[in-house]
Amino acid sequence: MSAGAIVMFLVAAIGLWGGCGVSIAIAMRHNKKNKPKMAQADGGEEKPEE
Amino acid sequence: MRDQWNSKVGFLLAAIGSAVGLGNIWRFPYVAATNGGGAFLLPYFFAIITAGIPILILEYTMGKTYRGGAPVTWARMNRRFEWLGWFQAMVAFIIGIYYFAIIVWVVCYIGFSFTQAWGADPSGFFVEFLGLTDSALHLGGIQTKLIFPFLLIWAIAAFIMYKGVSKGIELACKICLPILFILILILVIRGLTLPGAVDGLEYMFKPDWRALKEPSVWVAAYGQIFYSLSIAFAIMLAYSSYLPKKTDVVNSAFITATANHGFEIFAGIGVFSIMGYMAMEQGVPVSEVAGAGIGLAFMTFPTAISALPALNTLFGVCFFGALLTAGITSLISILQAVVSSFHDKFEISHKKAVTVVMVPAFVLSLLFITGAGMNILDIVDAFINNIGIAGAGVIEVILVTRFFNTEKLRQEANSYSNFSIGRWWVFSLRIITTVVLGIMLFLNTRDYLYNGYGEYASSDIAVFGWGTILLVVVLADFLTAMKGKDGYRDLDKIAYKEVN
Repeated sequence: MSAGAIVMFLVAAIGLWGGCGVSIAIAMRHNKKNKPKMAQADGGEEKPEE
Repeated sequence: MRDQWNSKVGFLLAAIGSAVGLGNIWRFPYVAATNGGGAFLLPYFFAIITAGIPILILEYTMGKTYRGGAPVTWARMNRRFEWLGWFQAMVAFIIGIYYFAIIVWVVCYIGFSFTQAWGADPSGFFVEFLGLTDSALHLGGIQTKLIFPFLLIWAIAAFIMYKGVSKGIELACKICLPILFILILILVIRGLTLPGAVDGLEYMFKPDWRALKEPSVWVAAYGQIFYSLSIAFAIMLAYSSYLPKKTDVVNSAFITATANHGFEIFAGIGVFSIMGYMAMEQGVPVSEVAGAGIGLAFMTFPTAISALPALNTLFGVCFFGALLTAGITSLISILQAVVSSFHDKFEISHKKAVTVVMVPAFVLSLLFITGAGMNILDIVDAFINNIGIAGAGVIEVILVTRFFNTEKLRQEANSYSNFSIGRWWVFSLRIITTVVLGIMLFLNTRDYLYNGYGEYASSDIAVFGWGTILLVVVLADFLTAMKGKDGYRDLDKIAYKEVN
């Protein structure tokens, strides 16, 4: 395989799966951060707005 | 009470399951390879950032904020916008009808894989198997051998749909997506271990930088992103309407888009490594065996499966099994887009809405298991995608960015998000997406008007191409004019139990 093809292959794989991994990591970090706050506010249950 | 996703993961899996469809496996690799190879990735990434993710964020925000199927969501934004919601829902209805047929063929081919029943001439076998007639208007009767798999797929789809969003669709996606990933992983591993695989990957990824000067390559990249993400035909609006109010939508859009496109690349590696092997076996360049769509799945791939040195059956089952799981998760999302439209506007239960959608869909989809099924499918698919969805997309971005307060939507999107989106989002939708989709729609329409489509007779195209578009417009008009339940357009006036 030529060097150009290998580079583009890596760009595609790392760009997309890396981007997906970063997005999931951000979501998990926020999830962890928000859990104690929510538990404090309403016992962990998300209550509907009246 | 309106159904809701059990978890954000459940929603994401359903959204990814909807986006990852047959096109990811059989369309993307060929589009990439024939539009500059590795160089195609540049416009492709640009299109993801400027169109794919912005439209996904837009639809997630609209659905979560206005909490209804497409027509009701649009009507709650502005009562005059309801027609677009019905247009999008009817486009989904038509796609759902022919999607069934493809899944039925796939189920049959899983069975054929055990004996490689297609023999030495898979193309001839496929034509004979479908009882293919010479014209879309020459139906040739229902193919009786397709009736059992047809009923089986209908039964599975109906079972999932009647179970509802959380107990049906969410559960189905939680089961199907990991299976799909494993099947594709097996294909990729098998493909990469074959001799000649490198030639296939070289064909797909070798950059031809001159291609970037061609406007058609950029339009192809936007087209791929647009058709691949299940946007502009009511699905993502419906799915996000079942999200709890305090859900992040911006990061969810990033996860959906990157997972969907990452999957495309992954599947492309499997498909083209096998094409490389096939080319080597036949002693021809990869460009000669490479193909896309129905031809790739039912003609080229069976040839490749038969040519494998070992594990032919396993490979066939994995390939068609992957198409089946990808097809089912997409099919249920398409049906839910239509079901939610009826359920949210009219005074009917979820189960009744499922019946209202599935019964006429069942009757109409019989058309696609006749001898003319594949010809009709080919024409309807081309027109409904290239004119129906592209048109819906253009009208969607124009209505939102020109006749609605986009800033309000941006603030709504940011309100519970993991990270905020800036004004680039509005700019992307207002300028880049509108212009590129507008060009795409113009070029597609002009092409069909002047050149027709494929080698079909003008009467076939008039009836099943333009006729389908006309049918969608008339149905959208009719359903918009019908009286809905009291206050369905007014989010503030409807009962709490309906929106939470």
